[in-house]
Amino acid sequence: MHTIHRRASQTLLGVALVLTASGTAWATPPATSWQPIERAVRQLSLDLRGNVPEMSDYELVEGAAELPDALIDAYLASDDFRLQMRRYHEALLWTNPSVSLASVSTALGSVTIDGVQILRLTGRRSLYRGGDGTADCQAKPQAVLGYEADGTPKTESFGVVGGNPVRREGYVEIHPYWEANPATVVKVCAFDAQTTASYSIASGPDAGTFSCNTLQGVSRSASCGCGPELRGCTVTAVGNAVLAAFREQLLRSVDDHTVGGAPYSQLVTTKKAYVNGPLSHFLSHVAHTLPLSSIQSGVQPSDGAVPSVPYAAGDTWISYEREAPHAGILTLPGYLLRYQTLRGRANRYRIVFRGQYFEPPSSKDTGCLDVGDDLTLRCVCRGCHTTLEPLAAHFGKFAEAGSVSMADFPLSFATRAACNAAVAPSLTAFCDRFYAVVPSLEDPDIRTWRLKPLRYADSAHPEVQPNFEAGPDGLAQSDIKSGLFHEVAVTHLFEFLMKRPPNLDVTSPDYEGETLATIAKDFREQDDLREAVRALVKLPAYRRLP
Amino acid sequence: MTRCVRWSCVLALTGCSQASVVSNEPTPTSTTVPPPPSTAEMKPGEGPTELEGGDRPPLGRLVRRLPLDTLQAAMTRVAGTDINGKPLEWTVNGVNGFSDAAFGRALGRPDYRAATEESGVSTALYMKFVGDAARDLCGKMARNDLKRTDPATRALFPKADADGGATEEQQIANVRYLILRFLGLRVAAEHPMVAPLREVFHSGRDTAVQAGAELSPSAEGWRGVCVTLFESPLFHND
Repeated sequence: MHTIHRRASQTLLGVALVLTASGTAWATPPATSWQPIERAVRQLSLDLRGNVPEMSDYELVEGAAELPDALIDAYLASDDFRLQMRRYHEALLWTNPSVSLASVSTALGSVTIDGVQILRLTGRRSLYRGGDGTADCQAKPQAVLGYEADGTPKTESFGVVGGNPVRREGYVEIHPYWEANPATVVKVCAFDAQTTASYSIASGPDAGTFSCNTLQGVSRSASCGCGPELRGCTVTAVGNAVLAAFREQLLRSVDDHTVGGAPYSQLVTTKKAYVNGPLSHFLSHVAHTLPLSSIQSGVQPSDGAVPSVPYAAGDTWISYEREAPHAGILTLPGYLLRYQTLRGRANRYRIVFRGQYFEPPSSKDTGCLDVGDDLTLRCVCRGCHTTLEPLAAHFGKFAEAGSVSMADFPLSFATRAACNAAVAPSLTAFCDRFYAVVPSLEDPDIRTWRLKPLRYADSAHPEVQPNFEAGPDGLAQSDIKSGLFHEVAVTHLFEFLMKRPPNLDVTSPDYEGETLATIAKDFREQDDLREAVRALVKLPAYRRLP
Repeated sequence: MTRCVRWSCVLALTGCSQASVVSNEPTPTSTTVPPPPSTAEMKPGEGPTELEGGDRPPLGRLVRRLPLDTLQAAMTRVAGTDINGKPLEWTVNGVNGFSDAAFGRALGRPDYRAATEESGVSTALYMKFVGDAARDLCGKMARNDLKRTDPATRALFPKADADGGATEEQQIANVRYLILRFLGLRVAAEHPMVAPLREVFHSGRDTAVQAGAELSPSAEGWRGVCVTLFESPLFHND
C-alpha cells in the first residue's frame, strides 16, 4: 500500500512539475500556456479568499474560457477577501506590537498568604506598609480590623524590618472590572483597593490637591489605591486584551479602506479610529499612570474624545475622530508601538508606502566625520541617515517608546526646572523623557530644553522643523499627491498576486512597467483597492502558466 | 517531431490551444485535461527540451507553497463537514493542529514580532505535519461519509458507494471527482493521474479485506486516495 501510495504521489508530482514548469529557456517558440479554468479559479480563490473554491465554483466555470466577472465580483465582495486584505496588510506592516503595558505600581499580582490567594501591587508595598518593602497584607478580612475616620484601612504593627516599622492591613473582596460576571469577586489587599479620588500635598512647591489617577498619585501617595472596581490597575489578562485590541484597531482601519468603501489612500491620513472596551479602559484609566521609563500612551487633547466603552465590551468597537497631527494607521498604537523609534517608523513607511529600501554604500565614504552625534555627518552612517533623519522628523510629534501625541507639549523650555515644572506635581523624569538640552550654535551658554525630535532642527538641518510641523499626515499627503502612494501599492499588490516582482526592464519584451502605470493611474483616480485587484487578476499574465 | 509532440502534450495538459501562440488574450479552455504523452517517446540520451535553448515564454504568475493560514483553511474546506455540519479539522489535543496553540508557530506562521516572514519552503517538518493532518482528516471524512445515506452529500466517495459494489466506471468517476475537489483539475478518465489513484484505492481496499480495518474496505481505499491527494504538490501550490 505504501509503495503504491508513493508511486501515485510521484505521478502527481510529475504532473505538478509539468503544470508549474518555469523553464529558463524553451526549445521551441512557445505557445502561451494558460491555466486550466478550474485551476485558475483555484488560484484566484486562494489569492482573494485565502481558501480553495467550493465545488459549486468549479461547476460554475465548467467549459468557460475565462474567469467569469461575476465570480471575481463575488470573491472581492466576500468576507474572506476582507480577511485576506488584513493578512496582506499585516504582512506589509508587521503591526503586532509586543510591549509591556504594566508597571509594578499598577499590575496586580497574586500571592498566597496563609492559604488565602490575594491580589496586591508589589511596587506599592513600601509606600503602604513600610519595612523593607516586602510586606503584604494579612489573610484576614479588613472588616475585622476596621477603618480610620478618613476611610484609611486600620493596620496592625508587625515590628521593624530594615529599620522601618511594618504595618499590615487586611483584605477586601471586590468585583474587578475585568470580570464580566458581576457576582465574581477577588480578594485584594485593602490599601491597594482604596477608592480615594484625590490626594493632597500639604506644603512645599508642589502643595495642592491632585488626582490619584496619575503617575504621581500611584507612585507617591499611600492614600491612593487602584480605585473603584480596581479600574486603575491591571492583571496579565488585561494587558493581553489591550495588545490584541491595538492590533484589531489597526486592522479595522484596514477593513474600512479596503472593503468598507473608504478611499484606500485615506488609510494613512484618516482621523477616524476605533476603540473597544479594553482599549477604552486602558486609555482612560491606566495609560497615563505608567512610569516615564515605560511605554507612554496617555490620552492628549489631540487624540480627540475617546469614547467610553465598558471593559467587558471587548467585541464592541466604537469609532471616533482624532485631531491633527494624527494620520491614519500611522499614528495608531499598533504602528507607533511596533516601531518605537522615529527612525523605525519612517523606515517602515518608506518600505511599505514608497517602496524604497536602504542599502549600505559599496564604496569607501570620505569627506565625513568619524565621530559625532549627528549621523547625517558621520562616515557610512550618513549614507542612510541624510535621507532617514528628515523623514523621521515627520513622526516627531509622537513620543518614541510610546504612542502619546506631543502636539500639545511646549516645544522648548528655557531651563530644566521649568521643564520639570510643566506637570504638577513636578516630575523630575518628565524632562529627560521628552526633552533634550540643546546648546545654541551661537552661544553655548544658552542651553534650552527642546522636544527631542527637534534636537537637530537648525540651519544645518533645514528639513527637520518643517517636516516635524507637517507630521505624518504631510508625508502621506505628499506621496498621495505625487502618485507614488498608488504606484507602490499597485506594485505590492502585483507581487502579492503574481508571486514575483514585476519586470521593470524596459529593454525586455515582457516589460510590465506600462501596465502597472496604467493600473496605478486608474487606482489613483478611483482610490478603490478592489478595482486595482480586479485589474491585476484580469491581466493575461495572471492566467498564464509560469 | 518528438519535441513537437511533447509540446502539444504539455499544452494539452494545461488546457491550452495550439492556436494561442504568444497571444495576449485568454483562449478557450477545454473542459477536461487530456493526458500527457508517454515517457516512452523520449529517446535514450535525449535531454529535457528546457535545456535546448530558444525563446523564453512570456512571463506569467509564479506558484508558491500555500501559506499556513491558507493551507489550514484549504484542508478544512476540502474535508467538508461532519454529519452535524461542523467543519472537519485536523485536531491535536482538542485544537486545530495548524493553529498557534498547536503547531502553527513550529510550522512558521509569522507573528510579526519574532517572525516577520513565512518561509515558502516545504520542509521535512512541514511534510510530516501535512501527512499527519491528511491521515487525521481523511479518516474523519471517511467515517462521516459512511454515516451519510445520501451519496450526494458525501465528501470522499459521492460517486462510488463504499459497500464494495462500485463499478469500475463509478470508481473512475469518483477519482475524477476527488482530483477536481482536491486539486482543481477536471481530468479525463484516461488521464495518467487516474490509474495510479485507482491503484491506491484498490490496494487500500484489498489490504483492509485481508488484514481487517477500522472502516469498510472500500472506505479504507478512498481514505488512501484522500491522503495521496492531500500530500500532492498540486494541492500545496497556490
